[in-house]
Parts: sequence; C-alpha cells; structure tokens
Amino acid sequence: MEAYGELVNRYRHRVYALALGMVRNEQDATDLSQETFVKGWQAIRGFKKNASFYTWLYRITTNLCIDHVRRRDRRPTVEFEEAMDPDADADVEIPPSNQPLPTDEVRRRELREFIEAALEKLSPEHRLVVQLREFDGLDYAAIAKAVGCSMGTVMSRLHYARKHLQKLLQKVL
Amino acid sequence: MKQHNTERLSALADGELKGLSRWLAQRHVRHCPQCAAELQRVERVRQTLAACPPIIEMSDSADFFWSKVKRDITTREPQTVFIPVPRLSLADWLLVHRGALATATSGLMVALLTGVMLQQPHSAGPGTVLVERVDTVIPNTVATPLKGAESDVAVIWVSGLEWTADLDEMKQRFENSET
Repeated sequence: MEAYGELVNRYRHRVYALALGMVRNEQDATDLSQETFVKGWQAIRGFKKNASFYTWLYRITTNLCIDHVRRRDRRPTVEFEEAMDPDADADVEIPPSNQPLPTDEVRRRELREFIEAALEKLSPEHRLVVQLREFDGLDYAAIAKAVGCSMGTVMSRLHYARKHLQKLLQKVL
Repeated sequence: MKQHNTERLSALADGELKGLSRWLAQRHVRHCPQCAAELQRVERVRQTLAACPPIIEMSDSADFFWSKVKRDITTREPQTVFIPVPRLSLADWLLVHRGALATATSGLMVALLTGVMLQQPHSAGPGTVLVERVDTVIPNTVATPLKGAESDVAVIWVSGLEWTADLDEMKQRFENSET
C-alpha cells in the first residue's frame, strides 16, 4: 500500500486541479480527489501496466466530477438561480473594484476571476475539455481516453466551448 | 477544406491536424478571410486562458492527504471495482497511428515487390552463354553463339558462311559449302 501512497503523492495536485476546475469548490475538490484515489485503489488490480496511469486516474476523476456537478446542479437553489438568470450567455461581469488596479498582480487576479466565472458558465462537458486541453495540455487522443468519447467529439466540444468563451470573454479579448 | 469547417480551425490552432488535412486547412485559411478571422479569435481565447492559468495547490499536506485516503481505504468494505482502462475507438486509433500504419504498409509493399522480382528467372545478357559442345564437320572452323540464353541458341554461326536468320537456309548454305 505504501507504493500506492507514492502514486497518490505524485498525482494528487493534478487530480485536485482537475477537480477544482470542475467543481469550483476547494472542499468538494479535496473530497473528490480523495474519492478518486480510493476508487483507484479498489480498481488497481484491473489496471494494465501498458496503459497510462494518469489517464486512467483522470477517467475516474472526470466521472466523479461530472456526477458531482450534475447532482449539484439539480439542487433547487441552483435551479432557481439559473431560472432567475435571464441571459446566461451574456458577458460575465468583471468583479467590481473600488480601487484602481495598482499592480499587474491584481490585474491578473481579476482576469483570472473573470476567466473562472466564464468557465463556470460552460456545461460540465465543455468545461472539462477546456480544462484538459488548456490547463493540462493533453492532446485530443488523451482527452478522448480520459473523457471516454471519440476524438471528433473532443474537437467538437472544444470548438463550441471556445465559441461560448469568445462571447463570455469579449471584454478582455 | 472546401467549406467553412470551423471545428477544424480549433484543431488547427491546437496543432492536432497533420499532413494533408493540415495543409488543406492552412490553404483554406489563407484564402478565406472569414475563417482567418475565426482562427484569430480561437487563438485569442487560447492565449487569454494560457496567460492566466489557475494557481492550484491542495491545502492538505502530502502526509495528511495520504492518511485520509488510507483511512478511507481501510475503513471501507474491501471490494474490487472494475474501471476499464481508457482506450481509443478503432477509428481514432487508426487516425492517431496513421503515420506508423502508412510506413508499415509501404514497407510491406516494398518487401512484396522485391520478393516478386527475385522470383523471376534471370535472363542472360547477349553473348554470355557458355557453349559446352559444338558439333561441326568442318575442320578449323570457329563456332560463335548468336543468341542470349543457352536454351535459346538455335543457330551456330559457322565462320565462312554468310549469315541468314532462316535456319533451313543456313543449313542449305552449310551443305552447299561442304560440297
């Protein structure tokens, strides 16, 4: 089991980053990362050595995250918020700031928040492919394996996600 | 890319198009302002996202996180879960490995062609046959093969005779010269 501990230590940040990108909540992302590694342990015997362990872990993480997001989005409060949002595709508002932007760091932080808000408006499937491509740098084949779809679907989802992001990020592009 | 296939522009921006499809897409973009503008927009989105990657570090320390995972593993009912190893579909697998497949197919074709060529019998060059025995009744004559392969040698030129391609006539001339 200690050898598995080494793997957990090696991949925990990447798994956590993917989970956080999907669920946008630190506690949920930590819990999902933990659940990923527990499931990984339970299924490790079925894992073949010639496959990529990382892609396999990503598959577990993405399945858990998408389930989590769908469950969360079914909650009434979220539905109410969605229903009250008359124009969900409208530009994301830049978080208001009383002070002028003093440094590049603050500007970057605001831009990051702006981007995160835009990403949150994407569907879980679209957010996932953007996350895997733009932040993890996976190629289409690896994304297709991690998500469990064809490369054509990856290309299509990325395209529509970017089209959506073009609208949402209009103010900063 | 004859039509405005904007999905392929994303793939082009990501460097996922290879070979002919990349060349066709690039060629289309050079001649289509609409797609060139779309490609620029895709690039801008990519650059904006790349400029602000999320800063993510798990707040749990490595030991603490592993202790939580280990606790969960040991406290839960021991069970084996089957999670399939992620694989590409056959079509995607062929697409990804098309370069290697093309190389292997070309190699196989070359090997087959070489094999076929090696199977064919050699044809000897003209004047290279070894004539083991020449029967002639004319003393002090020199026999020279006139055709390439030994099996093809039908006429032996006997020096002193005027050449003709007709074997019967040649025989006749030979008999005449004897008399």
